[in-house]
Amino acid sequence: MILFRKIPQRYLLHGAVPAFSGCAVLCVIVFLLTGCALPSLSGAGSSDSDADVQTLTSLAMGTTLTATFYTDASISSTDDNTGEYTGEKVTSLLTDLENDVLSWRVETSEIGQINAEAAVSCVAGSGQYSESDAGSESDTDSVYDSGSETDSDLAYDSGSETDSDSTCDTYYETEPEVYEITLSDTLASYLTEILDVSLNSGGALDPTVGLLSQLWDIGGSNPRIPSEDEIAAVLPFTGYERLSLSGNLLSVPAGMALDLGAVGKGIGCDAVGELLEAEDTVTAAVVSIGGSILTWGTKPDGTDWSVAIRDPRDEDGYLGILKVTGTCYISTSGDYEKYFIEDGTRYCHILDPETGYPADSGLISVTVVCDSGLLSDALSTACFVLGYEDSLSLLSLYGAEAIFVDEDKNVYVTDGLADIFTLSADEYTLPES
Amino acid sequence: MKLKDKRKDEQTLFVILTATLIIIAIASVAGIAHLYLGREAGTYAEIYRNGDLIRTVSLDGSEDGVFTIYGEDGSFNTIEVSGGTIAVTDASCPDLLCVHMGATGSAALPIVCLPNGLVIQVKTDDGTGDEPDAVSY
Repeated sequence: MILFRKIPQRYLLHGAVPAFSGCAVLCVIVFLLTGCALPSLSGAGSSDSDADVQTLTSLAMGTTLTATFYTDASISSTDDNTGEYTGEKVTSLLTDLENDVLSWRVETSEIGQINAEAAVSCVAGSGQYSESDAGSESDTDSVYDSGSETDSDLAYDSGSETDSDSTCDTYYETEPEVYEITLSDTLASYLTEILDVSLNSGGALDPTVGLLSQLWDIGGSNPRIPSEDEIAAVLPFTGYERLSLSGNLLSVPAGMALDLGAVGKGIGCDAVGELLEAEDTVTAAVVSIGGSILTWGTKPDGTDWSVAIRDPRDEDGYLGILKVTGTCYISTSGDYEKYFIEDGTRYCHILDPETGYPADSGLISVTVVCDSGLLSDALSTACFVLGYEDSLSLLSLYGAEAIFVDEDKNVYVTDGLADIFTLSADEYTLPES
Repeated sequence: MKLKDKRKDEQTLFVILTATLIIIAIASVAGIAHLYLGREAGTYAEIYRNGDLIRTVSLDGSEDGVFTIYGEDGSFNTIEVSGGTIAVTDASCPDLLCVHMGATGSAALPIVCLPNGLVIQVKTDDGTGDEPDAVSY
């Protein structure tokens, strides 16, 4: 301040001109820099006043549900909080789908009731589908466990055998009874599609592996290697060809347990896709139900969806990136998500219905891309069981594309994905290139 | 002599003003760069309870430690952050699957506790804008 007072006005002005010019130039530089930096900080979407991005992280279908909804407020809507509302709708839709239809863990779901009935029928050795029995004797495990369960009393009553260990043999030796159940239209349409894939894959995908899955319990609380006898005892109670579906009427052999775990998340993606069609303000969305992906619509900035595929041997890494346009369903099956290792052998949760043991086709990961969630999920499981060579004709039958990773870390990409998949993990190779 | 002094003063003033402005400009740029670069390579975990984001924890080492998330019903999950990973080390749920899932540092491996409605989702913001929209696994 002292300095300022000592200087005559004209000098001050004279000196101030270049100084303020410098200030202006620097300010411009600063604003340019902030101007450039800020859009990167705020991320896509918020730079457009009408566009908004809503994210959702929740639990559904026994797994993590994450979703991003791109909404456009300029589209007229009665609800001014549509993005969040969409998230709530998606969560409750999936919870209902799980609890009412698909879950083999929920006794009151359609699948739960079918399994309960088939198990009760096996134990009681009698009768038709009976509504009043549903849920009361629903523990399918109890029939096959060796006598510790209280339910096993029923087994003694029903059969001529008194040794509970041979309960299953009893029902195998005698012709298993078949029970007829009327399915909802929803479940009937899902099962029709699933059984179609079962047929075309020679049983590599099989919705009747319920007992086998329970036996191994991989991903559950008590995973273990069952004895050969145990596997031999449940194999007769599996086999998609022993199910028959005519219209909505499903015939299930006594003792069989259905397990739609291989396709549940994909069915969920389909259901979300249908819901989004009815959401006026949502212009685009990406949904992940436990790693099964739905991309829907086109992002506000017009760029492709970028979907990473997990590196099957590095939980923090990506194998590569798929760039897809518009609505697309992507599902991956691998040996890394649910597994246990015993004596150096990896036992993964995808079982080969033919052998009763975890799939051993030489593949460690298969990603399938197609226009249906159910199919992408079903095909990724089937391909994982079949192996690379045998999968190609199955995929072309459904117009699906895939990325395979074998245990030698070779990556095979079908023609339709060759241009949109970029391998990024160093230790993997694309043999064709 | 007087005029020379004044010229000298003028030059001093100019130098001081210019220097100040340059320092301010550099500081601004540095500040912005710090804000921008500070987000680079930032891996953090979002903790959700019943679908609501209740806490965000950085996994860069600055927030390493142990804390417990309590639910209104008395349920809890004890969470440990260390070495770039996050894990549930204790919980009130009966199956303890969340504890058995071990530590995660990956967006592809969320930790889920179904009984307590807890989700821990790891996210990475590398500042390049190249983060995928989703991860298939």
